[in-house]
Amino acid sequence: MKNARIHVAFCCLVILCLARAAAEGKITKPRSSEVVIVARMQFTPALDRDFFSHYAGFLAPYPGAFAEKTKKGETTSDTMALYARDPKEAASDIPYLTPTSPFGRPGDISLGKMVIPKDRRIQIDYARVYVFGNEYFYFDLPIGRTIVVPEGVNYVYLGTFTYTFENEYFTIAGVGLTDEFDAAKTHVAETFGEGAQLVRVNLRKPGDR
Amino acid sequence: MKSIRKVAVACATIALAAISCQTGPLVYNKPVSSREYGDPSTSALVYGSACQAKNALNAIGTRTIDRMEMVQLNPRQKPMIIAPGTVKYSFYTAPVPVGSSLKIFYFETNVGRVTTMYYRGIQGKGPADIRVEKPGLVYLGSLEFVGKDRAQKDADDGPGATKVVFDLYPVGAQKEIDVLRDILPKFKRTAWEPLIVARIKELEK
Repeated sequence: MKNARIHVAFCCLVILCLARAAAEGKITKPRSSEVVIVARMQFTPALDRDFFSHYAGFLAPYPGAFAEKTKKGETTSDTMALYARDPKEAASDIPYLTPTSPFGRPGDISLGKMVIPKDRRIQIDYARVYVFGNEYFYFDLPIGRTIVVPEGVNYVYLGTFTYTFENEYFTIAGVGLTDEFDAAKTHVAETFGEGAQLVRVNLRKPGDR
Repeated sequence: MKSIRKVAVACATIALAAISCQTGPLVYNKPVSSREYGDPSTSALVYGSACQAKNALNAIGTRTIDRMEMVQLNPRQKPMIIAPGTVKYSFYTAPVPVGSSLKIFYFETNVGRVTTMYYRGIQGKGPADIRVEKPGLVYLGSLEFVGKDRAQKDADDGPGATKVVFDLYPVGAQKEIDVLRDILPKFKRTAWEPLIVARIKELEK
């Protein structure tokens, strides 16, 4: 029960961050104390965007709280948030690291910037997809792996995660992990400049040393 | 004069209290009148009751679950966002087309002055989420918001590991017949009235 309220607080914080970052536009270079997590999150089958567009205008669970359809030509894409935490804090009340940037869109190479915890270990739980950016309509792409950010490294590569949904409830039938390091390296260089060094990191299962 | 005003205020308060225990069904956050209800041959009336589990915090006062919202997830059927109408703990939806896959994506609990909002998302078919396969009356059960052990498919802690999951489970104490009696007045003079009356008779036996 505790988690629900914290989840809500975190969701609101994430939405605020997303909104702020979206308004600001591009993702900025990480500080030396920050790391950019690079991954591609994708799923199949693709969302029926026409169908879900009917839900995009849902504002709140009150009578009348429904926005009119977005103006013609205005597309709202799905947004993502990366839920990652310092494994040492896992037992505490507010476990999740606050992202300092949103996590891009499903299908694209995502860049998620966050502060590196003291012991440099980050437990990456899942990427949450908000359909049409709406905080009520989300589903999770579980990752469940821990990484250790090497000293002096500010860009780490996880891989391409492909999820297969087995029904309309987004129940996950399977996950595939592939390597697209070269494409990711190019994207990082294009975004942050040639000096940005992307490195691969091991994806450890929780409990592995 | 003073005493008349007191009585008037008391009446107004009682009326408001009575009204606040009831809300009408909404679709896309707009009220649906019973005249617009779908037909029992092609749609289903989903009903049940929902409350919080009894515990020390809500020992006094109501244990209602409020502002429940369901979303239809089958892309081959009509998109709908459904807020069930309520009569105290009982709830009922405006009839939904057969083939709808419903998911409860939001609800609130109120304990004293504390409102907890549950953003459940649209993933996973929970114990109170239903695929409407047949038309007519569909009883979801007496739902209670409790924590139960649910097996984890890929628990990293090893095979057979479980974790306590809070969800709406059909383990409550309200009876179907009481729910039907609560909602029958809402379906007077609709095609659903005879079905509800028949089902009540069935349960009375």
